[in-house]
Amino acid sequence: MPHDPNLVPVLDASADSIEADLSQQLLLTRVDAVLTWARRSSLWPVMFGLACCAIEMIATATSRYDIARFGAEVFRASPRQADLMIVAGTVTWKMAVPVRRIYLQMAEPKYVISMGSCSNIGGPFAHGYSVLPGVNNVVPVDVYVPGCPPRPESLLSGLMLLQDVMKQEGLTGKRQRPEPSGDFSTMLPPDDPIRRELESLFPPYLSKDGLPRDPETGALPHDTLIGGNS
Amino acid sequence: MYGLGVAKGMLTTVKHLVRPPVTVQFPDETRPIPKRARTNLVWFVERCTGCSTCAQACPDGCILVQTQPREDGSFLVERYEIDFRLCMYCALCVEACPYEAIQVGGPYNDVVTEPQPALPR
Repeated sequence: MPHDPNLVPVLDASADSIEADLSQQLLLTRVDAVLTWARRSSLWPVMFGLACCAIEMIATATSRYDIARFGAEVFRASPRQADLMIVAGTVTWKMAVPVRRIYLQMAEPKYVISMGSCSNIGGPFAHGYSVLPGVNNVVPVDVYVPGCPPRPESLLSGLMLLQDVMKQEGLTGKRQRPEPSGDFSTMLPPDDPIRRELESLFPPYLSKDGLPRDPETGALPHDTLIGGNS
Repeated sequence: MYGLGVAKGMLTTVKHLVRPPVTVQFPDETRPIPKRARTNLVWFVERCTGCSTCAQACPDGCILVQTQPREDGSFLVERYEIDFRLCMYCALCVEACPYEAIQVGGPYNDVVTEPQPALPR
């Protein structure tokens, strides 16, 4: 069966109708509550740190602070197995592309904690040329943890707030966080290779050169959706 | 002398068995902050004279002080805002303040789900 070129692989058009069907059933709503509890009690973060905030993130995992009390101690080396991304540190423009890629590679439902002033808005480098002014320009952020770097207690507070947010979202079934627009025209020059690469990671996921998909197979000319080597 | 290593190892095990756990149960108890640690900032309205020395000392320019002169020459502080997204917690404002109106040692639970509005650039 030929692949529909207009269908973006990460989206599932039939999911809405199925969920509308299932939400009518009492048993499955109880299952949903249990599922939300299980999700928020086992938030596995991706193991990556960008700057000095990562040291505090490691300190949070030590026995003194013990992030395992919240079920989030399993720092996974693969984004496929992770639910939570702790953006800990300065996100430079060059690093913004891998951050976005790692976010796309994570499986739904996925959550993002922005840790520290640098990833919140750029921090002391907010007016510089090389630092992303806020990681919410690249990935949707659930919880912002201020600090430079935040103490481990602050990160634990952020984790608890995220668990509360997940509890609310489990009741209402809606994600509250705003999606990034993917428009970097006010921040980067038009011919910037990093800008082209970043915009290729936003819908409609065109290639780096802005080329459309192959009408036969739906594949990109090169450098496919999330950096694969197909 | 055989078995000495085993005895030493068992001694360590027994020590760790009877020792209280090192984990601090954070939401219920907190560790004391070191005396000169640089943490969140607390502002005392009754000590502040609105001189804006802290705002001038801030390398990031994240402190906003808006004042109104009173009749006796002192200042009425209308707005005092610190943008904690820009703040790099260097505590230079604490050193600069002549009246000790801004101090370190704020709460930990200042996490938010939405970014506050940005400063005008």
